[in-house]
Amino acid sequence: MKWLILKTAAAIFAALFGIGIILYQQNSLKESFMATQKIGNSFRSLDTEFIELQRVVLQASYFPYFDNDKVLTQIKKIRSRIEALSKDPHLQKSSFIKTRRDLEEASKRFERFAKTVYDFLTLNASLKNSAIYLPTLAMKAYDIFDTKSATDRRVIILLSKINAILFMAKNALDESLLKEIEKYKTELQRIKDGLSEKKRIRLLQTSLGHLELFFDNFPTFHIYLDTIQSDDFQHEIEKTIKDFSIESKKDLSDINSIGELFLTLYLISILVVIYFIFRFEKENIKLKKATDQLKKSLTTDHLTGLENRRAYVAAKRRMYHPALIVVNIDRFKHINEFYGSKVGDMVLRQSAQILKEIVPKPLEANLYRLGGDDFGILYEFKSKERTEAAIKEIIKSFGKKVINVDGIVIDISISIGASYANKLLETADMALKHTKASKRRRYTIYDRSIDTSRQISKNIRALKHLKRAIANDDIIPYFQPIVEIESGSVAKYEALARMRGENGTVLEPPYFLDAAREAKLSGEITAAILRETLDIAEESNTLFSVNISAGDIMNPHDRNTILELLRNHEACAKRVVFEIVESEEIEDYELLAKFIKSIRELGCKVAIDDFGSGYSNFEKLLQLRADILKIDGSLVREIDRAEHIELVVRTIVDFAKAAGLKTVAEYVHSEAVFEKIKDIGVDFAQGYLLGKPEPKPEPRNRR
Amino acid sequence: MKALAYFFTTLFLFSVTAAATEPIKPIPRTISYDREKAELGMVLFMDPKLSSDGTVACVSCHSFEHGGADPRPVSIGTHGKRGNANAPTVYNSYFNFRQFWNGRAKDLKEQAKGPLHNPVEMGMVTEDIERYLKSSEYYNEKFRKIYKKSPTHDDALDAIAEFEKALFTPNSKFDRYLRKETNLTAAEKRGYMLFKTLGCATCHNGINVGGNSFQKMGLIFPYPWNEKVPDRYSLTQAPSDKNVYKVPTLRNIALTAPYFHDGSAPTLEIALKKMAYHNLGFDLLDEEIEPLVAFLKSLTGESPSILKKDR
Repeated sequence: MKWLILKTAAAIFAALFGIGIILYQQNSLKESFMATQKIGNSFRSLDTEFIELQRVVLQASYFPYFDNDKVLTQIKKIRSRIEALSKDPHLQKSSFIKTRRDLEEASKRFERFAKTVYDFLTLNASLKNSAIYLPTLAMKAYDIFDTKSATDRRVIILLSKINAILFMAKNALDESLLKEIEKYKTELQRIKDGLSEKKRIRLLQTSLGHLELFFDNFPTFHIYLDTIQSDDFQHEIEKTIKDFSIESKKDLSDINSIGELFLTLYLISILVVIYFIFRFEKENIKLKKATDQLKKSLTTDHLTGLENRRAYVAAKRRMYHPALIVVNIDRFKHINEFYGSKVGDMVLRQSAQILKEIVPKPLEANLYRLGGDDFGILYEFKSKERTEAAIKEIIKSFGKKVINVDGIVIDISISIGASYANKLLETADMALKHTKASKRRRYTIYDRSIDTSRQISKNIRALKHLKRAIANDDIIPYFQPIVEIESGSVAKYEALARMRGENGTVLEPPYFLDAAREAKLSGEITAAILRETLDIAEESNTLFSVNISAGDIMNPHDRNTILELLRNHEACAKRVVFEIVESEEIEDYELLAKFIKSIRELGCKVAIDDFGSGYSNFEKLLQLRADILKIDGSLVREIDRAEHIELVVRTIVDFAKAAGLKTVAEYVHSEAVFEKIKDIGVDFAQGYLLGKPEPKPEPRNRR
Repeated sequence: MKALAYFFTTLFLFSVTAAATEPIKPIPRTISYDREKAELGMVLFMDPKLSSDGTVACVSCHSFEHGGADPRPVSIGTHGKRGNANAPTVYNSYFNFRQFWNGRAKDLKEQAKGPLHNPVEMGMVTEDIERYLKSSEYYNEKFRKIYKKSPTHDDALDAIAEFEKALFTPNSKFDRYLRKETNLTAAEKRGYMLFKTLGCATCHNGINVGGNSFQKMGLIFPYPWNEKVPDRYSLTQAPSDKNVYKVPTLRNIALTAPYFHDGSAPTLEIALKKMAYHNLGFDLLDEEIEPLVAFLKSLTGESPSILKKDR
């Protein structure tokens, strides 16, 4: 788990790292590119601005008066641009050594250039002054000098000539023209020296001064102007631009290669992560395999290799509407006993193999060994027809297969029970049993009717037994003592019906009584018990009570048989008590009363059995003129545990006493119950505490 | 190729000439500056404690009553020491291409350092200045507020420079004329014309009517020179730089007498005559001087707004 977290964290980190690198790479490339663009543009602007400066300087030299600020502004502009460039953070990178050096060179060059411009401006002003002032002086000469005098006229002519040539020389920037002025200048000087009038001397002196100034400064001025116009600064800038573009390319490619390096690292880290994931997955697969194997061994039947019942239960739970076919190998127990369990195992194994092959594919069924020789075929239910067709297909195919164990060919057949009802396995099993019970059937699909038919077949079997028992005198009485509570001695025995079964078993009424009633054979049983009891009574002097049902009394044949038996044993008939169960079966009370009257006449006594069990009618009871009341066992059994039952029993006992009836409590199984009924005042008690039913009436004391 | 370039350039120049531009530009009505810094600068500018004997402030020689200049021929520093030059006006000095008569400072901040440390002017050293500023509650608070740290020499210079930047004088009559907001009198107009045609404008041009180039004093007839003059030569030792000075501004020139680096011209008339003689080689006529003076007087601008009490 810890490793998984670590690996996941590593993978996430690597991914973020990669994204970071790509973003960083993109960003630095973009930034570098933009900075390069900006700087490149700035260099080009520098070039343009320099040309503009040269142009402004030219203007300053040509225009007689000019705003020098324009020149200075331009210088300032270039200077601050160079400064900004040399401070540009992008250029501080080590990749731009050459550019920086170039820029420094250019900056120095420009400062030299700027100084030249300042000097030029100084010279320019004075030259312009002279160029402006000399013509002014020439015009003044017209006023001062006399045009009629030859000398004076010469002065004017000389000044005009000088002005004309100066104009040409300055505008053409041609110093050679000045040579021509040289002789005029000398001549003018000579004339001046010969003059006496102060005003005239002054004019010529000033003119000559300006001329001198012009002569002195013009060559330098010319050099300055030439220098300014042809300065190498532009070359410097060009060189800088060239170096910059080379270095920029290298810088960008450096960034690119750094990016590539990072990218490579990133890819490597991804590969590492993939390796880890792969390894992790491999371990996972191993683990999963082991788990699967373990699971399989838990849900697999080792003998046949099929899945076992556990797997069946799990699979069924996942299904929408499961259907199950249970296949059972007929007489497998026999095979096992006959050939030995080794062969039996082989049979099971081969049967499994066969089933695997023959279960129809479209069923998409799973095969299980449900236990013993039962195989289960589980599938999603579609229709009864489909199930039926599949079963038939299985039976048909199985019949064609031969099971051969070490050369012994064993012919086996199968029985099938199928179900798609609730309680799948139970009902399918029921269906299988249904198949087994029949000789002809090979398969059964469960439906509700199977439950009923099983009951019928059971009943049929029970009736057969009953008839045989009656015929063979196998219906016999067992005797349970009834004790007088006050004296503690046995007062009489109740004869209870039993049926002798095969192998000496003795069956109790629940096994045959229902069948007997259905078949109207209960009278026969009553008669058989009475006969036996009378026979025993003849040999003893105790009292006996015999059960008789209302149905027996209603049946004339049975009624007559009973009366006849009593008459045949006149002597002991007076020692017989008939216990009549009061029930809805009594349709004709008159007939009942008549029967009771008849047996009374023979000395018999009458007890009402199971009194208090629902249908109790005191009035009818009085009409029947019974002698004894037997309190229902279900009341007696609970008497020590529930007060209301005690109350019911008390009421019954009080009523009986009032009517002059004796009372008997059945099902006395404990001392507590016994003490209770004794306390209530019941006359007789009967139950396991006092004696179990026995084949013979054996008088014995209680406890 | 070059000849061709010249040809075209020349042609271009002539085409520009057709739309003649004035050699003088008006001062902008407003300049952006940091008000807080400038106000601190103003206090510093007027603080005599910034001198060694506590008697001289910047304002001592750059009087606001005299157009930002010194009415005395040469400045007088601590302990009555005399300087070697007439203090140029501080007004509009921001527009000068360099500072001082010989242009040895490249900007105002550098300039402000000069007089502070000059032994014949204020005679302070950096440590003195900082110690004084730090001892003052007022300065401490102000500097901390503006510069986010306790007072330093450099920040003090910065504040003074910022104040000086604010000392511009817009809306002179001539500027308004240039902006076509008003008209000049006939005399002023004639003065301006003479100013251009006599050659004054070759040096006195631009926004500051000067202050944008160096020029020789005494081009035609030499001007007296001695070792002490504050000329370019004192910096460069180049013989051609003797008596070469930064061309002074003519803004507010009517207020800043006396004139020249040596304060040798007490009036405009004298100054004009001297300049005409030494640099043009002739004597101006009275009918020329009169309009020229009228023109020069039109260059007087409004007093700097930062100095106005009720601004």
